Amino acid sequence: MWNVQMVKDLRQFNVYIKTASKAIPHREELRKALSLWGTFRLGEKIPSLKLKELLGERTIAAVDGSRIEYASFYPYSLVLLRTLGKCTGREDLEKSKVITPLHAETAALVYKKKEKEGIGEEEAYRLYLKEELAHLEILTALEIAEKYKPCLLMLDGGFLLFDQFAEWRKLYKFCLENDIILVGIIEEVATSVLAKWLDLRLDHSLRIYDREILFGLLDKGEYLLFAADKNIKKNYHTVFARLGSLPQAIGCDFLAEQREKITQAMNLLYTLTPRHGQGIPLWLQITDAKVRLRKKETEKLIENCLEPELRELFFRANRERRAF
Amino acid sequence: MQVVGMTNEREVWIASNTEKFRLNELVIIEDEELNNPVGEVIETYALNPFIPGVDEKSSILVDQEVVASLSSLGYNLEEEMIYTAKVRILSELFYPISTGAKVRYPCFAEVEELLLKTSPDKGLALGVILGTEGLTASLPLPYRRVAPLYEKGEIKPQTGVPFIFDYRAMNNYPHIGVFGGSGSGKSFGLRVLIEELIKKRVPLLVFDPHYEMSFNEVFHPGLPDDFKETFADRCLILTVGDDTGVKFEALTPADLCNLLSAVSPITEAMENAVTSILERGDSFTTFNQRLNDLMSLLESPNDDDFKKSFMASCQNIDEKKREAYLNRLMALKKQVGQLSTLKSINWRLNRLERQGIFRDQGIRQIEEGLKAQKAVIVRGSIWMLKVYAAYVLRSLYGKRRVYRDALQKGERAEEKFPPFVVVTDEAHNFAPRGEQNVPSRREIREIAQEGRKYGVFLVLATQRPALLDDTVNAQLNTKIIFRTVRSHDLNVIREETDMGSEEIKRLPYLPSGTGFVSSPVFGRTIPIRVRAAKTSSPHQINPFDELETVDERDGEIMNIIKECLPVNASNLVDLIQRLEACGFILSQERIINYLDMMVERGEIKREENRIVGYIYRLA
Ligand SMILES: Nc1ncnc2c1ncn2[C@@H]1O[C@H](COP(=O)(O)OP(=O)(O)O)[C@@H](O)[C@H]1O
Ligand SMILES: [Mg+2]
Repeated sequence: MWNVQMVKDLRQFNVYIKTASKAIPHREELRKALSLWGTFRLGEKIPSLKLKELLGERTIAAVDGSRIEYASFYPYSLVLLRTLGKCTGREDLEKSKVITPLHAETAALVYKKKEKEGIGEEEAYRLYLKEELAHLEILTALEIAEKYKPCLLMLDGGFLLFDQFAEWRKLYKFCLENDIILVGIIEEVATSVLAKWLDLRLDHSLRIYDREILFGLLDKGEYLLFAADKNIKKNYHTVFARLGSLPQAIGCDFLAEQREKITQAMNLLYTLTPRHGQGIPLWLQITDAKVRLRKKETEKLIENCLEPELRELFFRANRERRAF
Repeated sequence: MQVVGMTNEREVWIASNTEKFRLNELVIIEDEELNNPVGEVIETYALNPFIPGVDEKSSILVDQEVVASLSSLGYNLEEEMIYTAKVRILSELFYPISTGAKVRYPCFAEVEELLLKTSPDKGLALGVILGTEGLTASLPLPYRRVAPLYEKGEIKPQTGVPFIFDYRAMNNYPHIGVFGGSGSGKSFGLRVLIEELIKKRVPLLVFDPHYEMSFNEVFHPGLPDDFKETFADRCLILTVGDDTGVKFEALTPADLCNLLSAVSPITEAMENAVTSILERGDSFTTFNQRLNDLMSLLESPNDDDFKKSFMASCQNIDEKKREAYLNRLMALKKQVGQLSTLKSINWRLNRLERQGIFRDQGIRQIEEGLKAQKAVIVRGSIWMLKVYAAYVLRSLYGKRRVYRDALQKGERAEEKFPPFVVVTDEAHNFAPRGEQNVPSRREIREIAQEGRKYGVFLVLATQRPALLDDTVNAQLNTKIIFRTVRSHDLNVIREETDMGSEEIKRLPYLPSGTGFVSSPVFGRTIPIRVRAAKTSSPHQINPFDELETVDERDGEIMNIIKECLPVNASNLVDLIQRLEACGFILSQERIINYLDMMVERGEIKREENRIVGYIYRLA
């Protein structure tokens, strides 16, 4: 049940974000300003026949991961990680891992993280899980790259997520040497760099995120490529693109060394993206759908593998036993 | 293949991304704790998570272009199928199967017990069990060549485990019903069943209202040689009215009333009249004479006139006798009442006579046939058979009972009479549900209820199980059910069998020759494909072909016509007379029809004359 105060607060919040959104200049103005930093380009859909010619024996690959938790409350948590590397016309590659802080080894690692980052233990555990999954994805990507040498290798997420791992260097090197275009697809752009570049400021301290600026900015099939020295993160080249019908843009991270491949890569990605929808390349969506761990299935699986008494002891929260 | 999702102790879901499941196939679920139970696939689904369904919200919208692009890269979206199936566990479990358990296909030995209750030499090989195609390779030799199949006009080798019906089990679970709409494969199935019973030398009494049951022609040249077989010498075909009928002398008044009422329902007054008039030992002639004399008596203005003319009419007969007969008529006159009653009896009687039903070889031939362990096939129109069946069944069933009862009491039976099986199509005519009085129903009911004790069994086929008498229906322990569409019939099937709703749902869509067997002998519903028949009834002429063929009679007529050419269409009198002289009585139109037909066949030509119209002459 809600009360009068809640309604009031929400209305006020609405006013607040409305003001903020008004501070963003109009589309044309933005495009003009941004064209000083980069160029707007239109992607090309490559006809199937030509696509075949272009790729020859080479393939398109994507790597994605999924994580699901079976838990009552920390540390009674059991997490399943699964990653999938999928390469067109080739066999899938799957990896998985089971993690629980009830394991002494894991607990020690989480503790180390907690100390290092100066955060709470549970938060450290969450961070640890996220990194473990990213790590597993990089291992999968590396294996896919080595095994199939695809033309294009998509990762789910920006490069920052991955580049802390030792295997990243290996993947990086391997891709350059074997002419594999590595791209990190960012579905939810979370950076806030553009406002700084454009020197947009709000009267209050509210930050303007890139996604707010990108919303509705691009035409269908259009992408924004920044000048070689204008990097959103580190020295990666980030391209914002609208590949589908939704007005929101996605981000695509490329390696600086592969800048001259970006046009080709963007055309490939555009070709592989359904016209209607969120604008995510279908291959990545398929990989995502196949790797995803579903709650019911996972519960059944765990219930099948753990004895009922132990399950009750470790993973059943008191609140679950409440009748309402 | 593995078990997915929720399970219980009766049903599980299984899934695979490579195996397409087939309905009714058997699978083994590897759950050690439950002794690796066997299940039967009862529903199948294929699902592609990337191709949105019509009514589902799908997160991924795919356009054809992208699909084509991916396919040019060697990836077919269509291959991302997930096959799932609902599986019914065939054994009784006390707790659910584990999710995630592996699933595999069995080999024959692992499921033999579930599929076979007897061997082909001991039971009736009626067809194959659907869903067992995968077991063909592991099938032992004796089971391999007993049920070749018939598909699209061709003979195909047997695939799958044969369905072998243990007919001896009828002793515990008597009687068989064969249900299915028109064209569903009932008659075909009945034929196969009869062939198997003939092979086992079971005495059969087959009522054949369609004149389709004969077993002396090979069904198809493509049948394997070791399977080909005909049964001419084990069959005896009789036609009511031609070869067989009822023995009038043996009729009781009740029998005769039954017969008369089969022509058209009779009144109580008529029943009373028949009872009075029929005397023991009457032949058709004596009874008919008495009836007619009685009618004359009632018609004549007064008794004296009748007396005079009667006494005068048959001088050659002893006067005493004549008088006794006359007195008898006078007495009857008082009992029978109305002339109209007698007239009603009379026309029914004459109708029966004309149909030849009193043309009696008795039923001796039938008895002899049964004793020789043959299939006795009795043909006739439904109308005739209804009347006849009542009479025959009562008589034969009675003999069998007397024999059995005598044996039971340890007495020496006078006449040995074998057990037998009664087979009929259109059974709802013989034992209809409802009020109206159908003579054969009583006999069929009695056999349905008591026949088992005496070794007399029924095989009743009908396209309208809903119209079959309830008592009879309930006694048909084994039911073979082919395609059924009508909801009334489906309801009856739902009530009268152990078929599950999944199977009932499939009934309207079954192809001809595919059906379900619901029988306590098996304890579960078995889907079958009836095997190819060994025999067929002689080629049936398509009525439209019949119109196009010229028979002997036609030829003769045309020859006469040719002799009379040329003729003028407006003056056919000479031709008509000539034809009549040869015994062909034809109208003018018919003759012109013949002439035109001959023109079409190029045998003669037709010229138009302005004055007399058409002239036909030799070509
Ligand atoms: N077991 C079977 N195998 C192959 N074809 C069959 C089978 N049973 C029936 N048919 C086909 O279906 C047709 C109709 O079958 P039929 O037995 O005459 O139907 P019903 O008696 O139910 O009206 C047959 O002529 C035959 O072509
Ligand atoms: Mg028929």
